[in-house]
Amino acid sequence: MAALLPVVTPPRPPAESHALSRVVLAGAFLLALAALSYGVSFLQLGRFNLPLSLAIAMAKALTVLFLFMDFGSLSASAKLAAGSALLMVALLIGLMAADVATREQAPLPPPRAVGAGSVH
Amino acid sequence: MTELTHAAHFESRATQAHAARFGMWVFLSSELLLFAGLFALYAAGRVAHPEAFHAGIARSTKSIGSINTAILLCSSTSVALAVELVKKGNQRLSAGALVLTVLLGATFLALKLTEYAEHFRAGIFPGGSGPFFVQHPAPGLALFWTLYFVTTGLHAVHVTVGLLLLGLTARRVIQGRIDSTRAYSLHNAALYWHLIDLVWIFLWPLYYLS
Repeated sequence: MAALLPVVTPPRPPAESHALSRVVLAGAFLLALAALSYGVSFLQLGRFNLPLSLAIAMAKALTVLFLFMDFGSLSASAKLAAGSALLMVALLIGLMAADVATREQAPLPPPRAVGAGSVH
Repeated sequence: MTELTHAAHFESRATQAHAARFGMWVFLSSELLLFAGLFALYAAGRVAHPEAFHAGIARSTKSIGSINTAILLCSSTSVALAVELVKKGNQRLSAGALVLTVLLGATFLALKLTEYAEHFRAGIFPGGSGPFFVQHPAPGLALFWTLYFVTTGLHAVHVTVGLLLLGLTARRVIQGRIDSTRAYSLHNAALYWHLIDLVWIFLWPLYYLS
């Protein structure tokens, strides 16, 4: 039975001082990105405001994911679990967007004749 | 009698740590799906009522939301530091970093409640009820504020659970029950807190900025 179980080799931890400074630098980078998001929100970029804000948010999310949550050093099984969730989210958002984009507008009711139905 | 270094049903401590980490990522994935539904609703609502959503964002308390963002980012950094410190064997500093994280999280919640109180005073309640919606009857506006309360409320519930989890973990670190050989337990609690941070990273621009 034991032979069937995967051999688990824990990832080698980075040098201690290096790990601490990496966390502090990542924190500073996150705060800098947040300041950038805040500044961008005051710019009048029209329809580009939201995509830009979301792009900065994505940069922050990737920083947290890889530098704080150690996503890169995850085992294949854990990556599969997280990856399948991302796939389901992509399906959910994609199908919903397709529905909203392709939904036909309800036809307008026929115009009523002038004076029809009015009571004098 | 010697203390077991791992649970009896695991082959080794490394296997136990692997199982704990894998289980945590499965749980985080389910949480991601939960919030994804709310983000999808937001996207559909915004496409259908762009003007109302812009008006809602303009009415939201940008200053409190932005301060809360900085607080959560700092708390994510401090909990990541706690994990590295315990791996290093410095439990005392690690416990200090965890207590700091809990304080930051509690501040976040206090500010969030202040924000809710401000909205209630302005007559904005979930479900489009309240005097604000009598004066502003646009249906998209009611949808925006309902989604705002549901999504940020669910996030606040997660923050509360995270605070309890980190508080209990800090106690275990102080008691010496979590050390460099059992760091995975603290790492799992930190992963939950990082997920809370990840969700807020996207809530902030969508409900406060643009």
